[in-house]
Amino acid sequence: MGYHRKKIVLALIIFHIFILSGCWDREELNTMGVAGALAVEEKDGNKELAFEIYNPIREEEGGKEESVKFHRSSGVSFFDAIRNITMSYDKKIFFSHIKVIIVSEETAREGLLGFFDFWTRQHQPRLSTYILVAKDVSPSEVLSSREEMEDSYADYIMSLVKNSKNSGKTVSINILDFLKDFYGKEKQPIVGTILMKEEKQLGEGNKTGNKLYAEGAAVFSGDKLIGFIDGQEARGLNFVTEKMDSGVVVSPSPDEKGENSVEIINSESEYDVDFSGNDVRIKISIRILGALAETNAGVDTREPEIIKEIEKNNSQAVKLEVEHVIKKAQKELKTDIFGLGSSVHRQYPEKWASIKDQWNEFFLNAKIEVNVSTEIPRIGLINIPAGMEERK
Amino acid sequence: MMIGNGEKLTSFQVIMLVVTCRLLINYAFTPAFNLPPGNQDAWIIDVLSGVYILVMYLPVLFLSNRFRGIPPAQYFEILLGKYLGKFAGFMISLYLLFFAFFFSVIFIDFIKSSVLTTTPVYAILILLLVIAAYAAYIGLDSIIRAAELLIIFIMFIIIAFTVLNFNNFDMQAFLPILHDSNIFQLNLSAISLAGRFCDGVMFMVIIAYMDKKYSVNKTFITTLLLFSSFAVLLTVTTEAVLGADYAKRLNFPYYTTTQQINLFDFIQRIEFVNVIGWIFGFMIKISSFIAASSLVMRDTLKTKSNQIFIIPMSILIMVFILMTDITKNAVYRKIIYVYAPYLVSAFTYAFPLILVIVYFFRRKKLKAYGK
Repeated sequence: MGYHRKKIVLALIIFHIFILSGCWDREELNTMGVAGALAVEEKDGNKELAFEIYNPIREEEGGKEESVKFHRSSGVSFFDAIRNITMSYDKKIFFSHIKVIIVSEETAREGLLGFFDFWTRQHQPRLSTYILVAKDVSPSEVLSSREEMEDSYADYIMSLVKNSKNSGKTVSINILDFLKDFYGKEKQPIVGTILMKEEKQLGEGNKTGNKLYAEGAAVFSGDKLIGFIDGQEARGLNFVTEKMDSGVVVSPSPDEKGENSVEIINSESEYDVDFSGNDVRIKISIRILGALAETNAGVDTREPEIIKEIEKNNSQAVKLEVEHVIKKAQKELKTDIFGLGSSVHRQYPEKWASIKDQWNEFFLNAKIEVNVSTEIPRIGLINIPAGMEERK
Repeated sequence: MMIGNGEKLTSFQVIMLVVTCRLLINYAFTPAFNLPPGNQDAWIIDVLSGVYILVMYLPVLFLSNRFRGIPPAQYFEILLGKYLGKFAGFMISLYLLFFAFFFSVIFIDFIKSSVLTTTPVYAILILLLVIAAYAAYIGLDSIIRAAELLIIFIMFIIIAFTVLNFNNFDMQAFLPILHDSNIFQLNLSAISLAGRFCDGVMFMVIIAYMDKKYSVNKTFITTLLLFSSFAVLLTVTTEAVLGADYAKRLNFPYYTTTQQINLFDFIQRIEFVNVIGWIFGFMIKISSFIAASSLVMRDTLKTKSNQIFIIPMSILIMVFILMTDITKNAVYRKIIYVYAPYLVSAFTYAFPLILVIVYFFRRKKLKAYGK
């Protein structure tokens, strides 16, 4: 055997040591409980966890098994609770595939740092996992209320969070986003909220059922929950933070005989900070690119003047929404949820060094001016609205 | 004196080996975040450290040019005399062995923290050292040939992972530039980072075996430019994805950065590719340090072959790792961030500087050696 061939054989042998041999850390599928969602709450000082675990044996003779199963455990610490689950469940929880964590309101008010310490210290959990706060409902209740749309509840909630960009009425925040805000000090963390509403079920007479909504956002100061904003306010927040890439704004028509719905295609924001002594003035300029999606006012959308009026009314509607959420953040929540601190930091770095620890007080007293402009280059496939001539 | 089958090294091979060795430190720790100011200007420390390494390496470059083709242990004796020269050679050999041991510790910590958490230390160590000792046994030139290929793989991973992470980039994370830190502070940190360039001794050893048709200075500058560019790329990617404030709290920031890749919910969970590159890179690094240590020992003790030192050295590394507390993360990190700069500076900058001073004092006598 030639010298080079010997080397190739040796390299292959070494390579196969890695890929063919077993090792101490092998994880067999039948010994793992692959979790998709996790509910976190605290009761009597104990950490209570509920897992949605994928069931690999779904189809069985004579029947159909659920695609997921639920298991609970509790312990003094999060890790203690996780290991305690093995007393009642024969598999070891595998964390890497957890897509969403739902935290109870009480746990969030106590502070999430303890949980994040556990989550980021371990090698299996991932920072890309989405986090939500369950408002007015227990997170384990959220997990165990089955929906028909998806096999897995984790997938269903994930879809709700991801689809939120279509309405802009919530925020999709993962653990990395939260930690960056928490450590960055320029913006207070926010996370999405999950609600459970009782609704009449279609085709079931007066029978009611629980329906999940990913709507609004939970506002934190540091790692502690301090309040909530609703869906409309979350949309105002998303306009400021440039997270509104879709969604619909309804505004009164120019003749005030109906409404126009404008679909948001893109939204950009600019922040201009001005200091005079200790007074901060911040000018937020929002530029919206939209498309006319619907009008029930019978206005002539062929007229440029009419389109200008629609643009102006749309801008006014967004301005009111944004001003409302800013007022709420300053007067009620008393915290900068918009990340305006980062604009101050970038525009006045020297000043920021001296005020960063008191930024919140500066924010509360800041004079914030909002300017919104809308451009509607497209009006859809029709130019004479339905019923316009009849209305005349 | 030869390093393997008698072939001389090319400039490209020297560059590839030193860059592989050096990049792995940034690949593992992205150390710029752990030095003051630890903010959005961290990447500037990486840029500046390249300049300081160049300045600090002037004595090594001078000696390597002046004693071209002569192994360090031999010119130590020429400059310092027989006994002091042998002592210096012995210490350099121990220095290289210490870092082979130290990188084995880092290797174990990374593997145990990230992928094989329950595998015992001895199992990882046996696998690592058997391969490293074998590679060192067949010769540094063989290791260098492997490094030639592996560094391309590692560079490809770094570039590919940067591109794949592009959707997670937050360019605002770099602003404001040079406002929250001052130039003096950044320069101090850059000097401190340059002081961790332990691979410089490796350069000093292997440059003696490079074919004389290549320029020492050009080889060093190319090495410096290449690894500085990739070090900056690693730091920039980590900062853009994680932010400096969070990155400095992590043990392996770049590994966490690679975990964030998710393109279209399709290309994701590919950090294992990064781990493979990392494992192969560390094997190259550890085996080359053992091989270089044994070569210096051979030249110092004037033995026929360096191979007789390799197995005892590997066993020594294993015994020290298994018998001491050094694999504890808190212990070895203290060595990296507190003691390593002194150790590296003493061997890489201070000692060569002393040799240069001695050279100028003994210049006339050295003419007898044709130097």
